[in-house]
Amino acid sequence: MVPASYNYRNLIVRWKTTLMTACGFMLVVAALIIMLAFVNGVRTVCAESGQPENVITMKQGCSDEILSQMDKRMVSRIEATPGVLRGDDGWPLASRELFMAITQRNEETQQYVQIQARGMYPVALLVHTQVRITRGRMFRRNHREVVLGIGVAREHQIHVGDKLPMGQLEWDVVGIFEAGGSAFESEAWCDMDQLAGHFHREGVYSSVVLRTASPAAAQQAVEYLENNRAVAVDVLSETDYYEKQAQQTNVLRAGAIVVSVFMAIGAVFGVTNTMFAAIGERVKDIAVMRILGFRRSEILISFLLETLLIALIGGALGMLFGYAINGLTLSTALGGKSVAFAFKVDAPILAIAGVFTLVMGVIGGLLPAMSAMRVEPLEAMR
Amino acid sequence: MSEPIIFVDDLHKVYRTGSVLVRALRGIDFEMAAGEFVSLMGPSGSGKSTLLNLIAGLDKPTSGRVTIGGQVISDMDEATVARWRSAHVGFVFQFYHLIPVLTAYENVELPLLLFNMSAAQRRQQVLTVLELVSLSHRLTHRPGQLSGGEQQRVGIARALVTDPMLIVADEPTGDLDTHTSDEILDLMQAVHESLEKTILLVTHDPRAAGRAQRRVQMDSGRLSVETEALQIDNCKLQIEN
Amino acid sequence: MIIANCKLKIDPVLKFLNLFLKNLGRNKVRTTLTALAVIVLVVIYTFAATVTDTINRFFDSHSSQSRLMVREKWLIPSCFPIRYVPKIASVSGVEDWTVWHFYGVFFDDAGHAGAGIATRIDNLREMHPGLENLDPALIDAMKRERTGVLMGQRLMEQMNWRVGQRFSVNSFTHPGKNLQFKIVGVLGADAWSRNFFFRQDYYREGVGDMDDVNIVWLRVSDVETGKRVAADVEHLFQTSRAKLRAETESAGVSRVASRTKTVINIINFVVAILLIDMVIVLANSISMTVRERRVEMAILKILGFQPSFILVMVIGEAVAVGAGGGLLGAGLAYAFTWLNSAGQLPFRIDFLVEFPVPAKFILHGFVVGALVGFAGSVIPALGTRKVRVAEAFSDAG
Ligand SMILES: Nc1ncnc2c1ncn2[C@@H]1O[C@H](COP(=O)(O)OP(=O)(O)O)[C@@H](O)[C@H]1O
Ligand SMILES: [Mg+2]
Repeated sequence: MVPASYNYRNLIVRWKTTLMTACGFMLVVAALIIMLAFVNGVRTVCAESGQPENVITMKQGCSDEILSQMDKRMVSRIEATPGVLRGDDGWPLASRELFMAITQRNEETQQYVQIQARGMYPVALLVHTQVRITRGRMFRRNHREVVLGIGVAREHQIHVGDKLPMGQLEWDVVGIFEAGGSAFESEAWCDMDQLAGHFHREGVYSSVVLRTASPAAAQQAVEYLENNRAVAVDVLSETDYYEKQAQQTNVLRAGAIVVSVFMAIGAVFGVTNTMFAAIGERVKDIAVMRILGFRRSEILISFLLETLLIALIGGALGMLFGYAINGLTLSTALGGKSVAFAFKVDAPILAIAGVFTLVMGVIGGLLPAMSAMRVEPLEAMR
Repeated sequence: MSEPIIFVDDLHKVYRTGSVLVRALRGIDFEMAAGEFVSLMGPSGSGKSTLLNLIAGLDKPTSGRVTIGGQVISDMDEATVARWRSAHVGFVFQFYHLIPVLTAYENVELPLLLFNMSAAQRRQQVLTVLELVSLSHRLTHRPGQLSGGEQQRVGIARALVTDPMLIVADEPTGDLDTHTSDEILDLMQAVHESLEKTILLVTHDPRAAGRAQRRVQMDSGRLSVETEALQIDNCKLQIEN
Repeated sequence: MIIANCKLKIDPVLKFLNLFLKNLGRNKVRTTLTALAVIVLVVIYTFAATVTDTINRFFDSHSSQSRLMVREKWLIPSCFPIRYVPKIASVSGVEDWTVWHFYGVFFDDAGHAGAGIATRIDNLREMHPGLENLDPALIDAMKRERTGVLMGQRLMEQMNWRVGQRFSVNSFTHPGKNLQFKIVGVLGADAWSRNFFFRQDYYREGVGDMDDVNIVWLRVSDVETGKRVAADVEHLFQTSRAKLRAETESAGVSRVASRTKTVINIINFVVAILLIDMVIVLANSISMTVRERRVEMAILKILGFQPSFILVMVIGEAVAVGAGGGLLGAGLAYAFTWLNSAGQLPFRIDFLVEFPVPAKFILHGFVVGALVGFAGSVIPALGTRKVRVAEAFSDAG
């Protein structure tokens, strides 16, 4: 084997070129990680939002809560679905909810802020069990109070005790809740009757969420409602509902991969260039090694290794930069809603980045290494 | 004199560049005994390097055979001859051809990496030959930090380190001043005498050729005269006077 | 005399051109690889830039200051009773008005969807940016055909429909209220390619009690009138059940635009990375070239060439590769989306159909490539000033 020190010494001697080539790899890997971390972050929000025991029902044909409107009669029928758990008071664990996107103009900055409000009854906390009030307290019935998801609170810098304008009036922020990073964290929760009254939506519900004992029971409830002609609803397990929402990111993910592949092709051409130049400067070295008895295959491997070394330097730097985005929180539109999410770099993403790096290195190194392998020692020495 | 171990039979080499044919060797018959020190002289373009390369298994003859130690190396395929070469032939070049990024020690160690040896074994071997060429104090220097004479001594150490039976040197002093040339030639002579290596030395320089036991003259791809070393030395002395 | 003068001027330039063209051919592999890298990066750059450009153009085309959008004050989707409309329209200063009823539908079970808009047909052209040049004959045809629709280009292509065809839909905004339509014509404008327009009277007949209005558009003569009209409209409904908001179209659009902000930012980030990547690839290639030609440059200096000449030669080489690659890359991207939209490829990427690369991007690619070539070569080119005449005599190369 040609010693690896031969390769890395040469890389150090040509450090500017090495670094520039590695930078190409770094950019590809960093961009790939950041784009995938974005998609991953949004998908995580969706994955956290749904509980497999919960069943969400909306008016038939409405893919999104924001469009759905159901009346009292339909809602009562939904609540009568068999298999729905009952609370201590004997009432079904069925949460009637009114979801509204409220745009509010900040009169000072003239900027619009969108608040996503969800009106509900106390049973909601027994259905969305991932929700925890972490600061302050829950809103009270028949009071103009809201509890804010940590995502909205962070984005708009709102604290317990502040006032939140929604519609004509200001609402008291009495608590902050966390919900395992789910889409709920981007919402403001308040009393159903207060919200409906204020926006003239009395007797209108966007969704009813049913709590069952198990995912299997949830599935049964879904089937029951689907086959029930008396209620014209779209019904999904909560997990499926949010999974569908997550599919909106598929285009983004495909885009991320396509962009990365194109960038990778660019980087491959770059490293091929670099290695051809490197080999051009070192034909004499290659000739000597061949004369000393090194086989063609050993020369090939040596230069492939050198390319991979460049790739690894770039890939490692890229992962470092890419990883820096991990945890950064932003919010983005998802269907009719806007959700707060955190960029999420996880092991699969790093693995994809690693595979990208290696594949780019091998492809970029192959042609030059083959040309190195073909160096005819006597001709090179003449 | 001991048994011949190198047999060259009716060796022809024709180079083709485009439509032009260059007949570099036109029927060479030549033998070398084990432990013999032969110098090969001749004008530029007479085919010295070509012959040397064929003997060392670096190239294939157009016709004819090269047999060394009972093995027909002119018939071996490329990978086999490469391994055979690494074990049996040491090379010394005119322009040293050391690897610029490797230290003197690493340059000498390079051929040993082709063998199944422990790092300790390699280390001992490398230090021994570097001691032999009196470069023990230059282990960590890169070629660029060494003088021409020192570089050539590293080159000789690299040729010796695998303990080959044959050492071929193509104008090893061609790029050195007279004084340094003498040092290198002293070294080669010492190698020949104390290690009993078979040496084939290609040179332009009659003084260098004089160090050999036997000298061979080439002209236009043929061996012309074989003369005793002493006579040439005398001629040369006369010329210089 | 004049001719001789001209010759004197032209000659050195031609020689100079010749020299750097020869240089480009010197290391064909490197020139080709560098150009290929630029091409590939420019292709994807063009696609990314087209996406943001299309979105921005959409917002720009809706940036009128003399069109007012009247909507429910807080809620999305906006919705208010149709009986408000005459009151709004009669506010003084309103020159023309129209209403929008959204009607979202699936055309088939495969999930092909479209956004229907029921509106006034008589002033369709006047009230919708991008439809000013719609054939007036189509308006007349719509007036004759009660169930008529004007379909967006993309919807027609996607469903493979023809003018004159009838179809029925499955509405998701108005469950159970499924209308039947007859295609009267196709909308040429890009901005409306996923929409279809149909008659408000037909809509109201079909959906009955759900005939709430989503948006009312008003046209006013100037910005100042607009502000007053907006204030008047808002004031008029201050105490009514549903409160209204009136704002200029551009204000409304900027609110929508802010929702796409994160995705646009990520695309812009990618575009920036692509540009940096191109600069690096070119810089690397050029600095390798410079390194290999130091001796040659020393000789040029000995022959009396100015350092600035060598500088220009190096930069010129990079700019040529960059501009050439940029032109080809953008041209390829253009050709690709064109063939893709025209269905001339064995496959079809629906996403790209939405974002056709405009022809002006070919020039854009050329310029970006040239700039990238310049940016990538400045530092290596400045490095050539350090080349010493003595290097011509050293062996180092
Ligand atoms: N690879 C080659 N291709 C073509 N001609 C060659 C090649 N190698 C050597 N020659 C020619 O063969 C002849 C002998 O060359 P060489 O053995 O190098 O001579 P010497 O070493 O004696 O100077 C010369 O005419 C040379 O030009
Ligand atoms: Mg020779």
